Amino acid sequence: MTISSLQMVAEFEKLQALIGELPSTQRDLFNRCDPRQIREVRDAVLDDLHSDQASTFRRLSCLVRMLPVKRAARLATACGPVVAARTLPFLDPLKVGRITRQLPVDFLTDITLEADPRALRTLIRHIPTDQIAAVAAALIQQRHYITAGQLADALPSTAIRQVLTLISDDVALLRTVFYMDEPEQLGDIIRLVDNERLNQIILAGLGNREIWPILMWVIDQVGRDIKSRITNLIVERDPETLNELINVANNQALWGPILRSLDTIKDRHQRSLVHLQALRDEQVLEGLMKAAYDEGLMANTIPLIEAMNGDLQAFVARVGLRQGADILEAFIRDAVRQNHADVILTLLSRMTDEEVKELTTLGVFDDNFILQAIVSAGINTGQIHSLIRFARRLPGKGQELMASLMAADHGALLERLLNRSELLGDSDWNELVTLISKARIPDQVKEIADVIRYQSHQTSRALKAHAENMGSELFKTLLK
Amino acid sequence: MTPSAKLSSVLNTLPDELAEAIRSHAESALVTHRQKTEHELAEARRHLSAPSRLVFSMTIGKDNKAGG
Repeated sequence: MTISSLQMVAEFEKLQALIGELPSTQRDLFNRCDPRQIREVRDAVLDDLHSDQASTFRRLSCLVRMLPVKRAARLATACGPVVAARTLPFLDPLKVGRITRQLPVDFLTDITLEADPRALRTLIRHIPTDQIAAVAAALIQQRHYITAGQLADALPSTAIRQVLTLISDDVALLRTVFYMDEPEQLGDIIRLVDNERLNQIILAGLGNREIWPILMWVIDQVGRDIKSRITNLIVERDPETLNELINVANNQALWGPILRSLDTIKDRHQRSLVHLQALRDEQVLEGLMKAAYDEGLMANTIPLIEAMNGDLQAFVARVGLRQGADILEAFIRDAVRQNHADVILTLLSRMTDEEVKELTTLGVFDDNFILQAIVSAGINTGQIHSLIRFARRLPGKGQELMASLMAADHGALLERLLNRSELLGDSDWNELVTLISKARIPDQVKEIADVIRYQSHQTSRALKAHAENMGSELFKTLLK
Repeated sequence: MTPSAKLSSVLNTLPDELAEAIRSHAESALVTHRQKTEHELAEARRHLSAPSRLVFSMTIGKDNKAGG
């Protein structure tokens, strides 16, 4: 279940509240729809229901218009909530506000349950805050979460604050906001909640496993500041809860909100998060990788990898290799796009030679731009050994491409690499010599020769020795 | 476009089987809604005092069973 599927659940339940429960076989078909389509259906059903006998209620509204407020309120009470609710859309909102003042909360709550929520949203601002808050609280207490939720984002801030003091059931509040008609307003509502109460609400949500999908939905609706407040509060929980949360996210395909909130999590929490036992499960890790790919969030996994220890990075690399070319290439391209090509080398450094060889067969490494980014990242972060190991395990064509990249731009990359020669071990020198020997075009050879000519005595000597060792004709020529 | 035509048009964008189920449920909901409204209007008439009942009946008319 993705966030869009959760939004679909909300829309689907709102529609069912109107037309009754659909058979389970049809319910499954909702997954093929968009939440906006179901919202349109609901609006059309509401139009259909509330236009029926409209002329009767329009005439009744004319009568109400002529009556003094107190008599109109008495008429409403005598007619009952259904008739009152059906007349509402045809009345002047100011008059509705004045009549409302004469009516008890119980009756107003019953009217709210019968009325077209869209008509109510336009009337809310004409009704005294105390009454709105009391009705909203009554709806929540009576577990009419759908009705309460549909109106939540239309409530004035003072009414929301009052509801928060009237309702102590924090889980009920979470259930209510899930049905908001304009979920993008959730952040504004949460800003009205003080830190202590917000903590209390989130902790209450964490204490009820059934609510976790809603909690994740909440995280996904709010802006960065609130996202950060909520996620950091969650990741401070005990590892058992977090492991369970990860398993729920995996089983219900709710990785999206977690991935989207990762960059708001403090570093120290990221470290503890990535080392949770649940993430050592191959199936869970595969779920995370697939979700990141499906939702275009590969780049969001980079901070996770960076926070992992070597063992876990090796595990991730191994599981990653099994995900197929599409997922691997998407990860590599996203890492490069985010200027984090170094993470590719980090993962590569945790792989066996066989695994590296398997990785280097990917088509993405035929791309000059990708290779250049990896070489630069390797030089910048000092991952020279991993870089050369990677380059030498590329297929022949890839190695030639790499050699020509080293020679390009007057040998700029080769020069930068040799400037970090203190990081090269014996085997690295051999590999490097072999790699740049793959340069075939005379101009490239000349550029490489130029770079080498101006190297320090020590570097030149090392290159020459290794070239001789390797029997590299090219180097013998170059170093004459 | 009438509300029911609009509903049909929106339902046409959904998978057939689902659209049919929603259409059938929406029709039942409309019947229930209409019956409930008629019942409540009759109840309202019954609860009102005689003069008010007269005004109420004159206002809503005898044809309140008709749609639209």
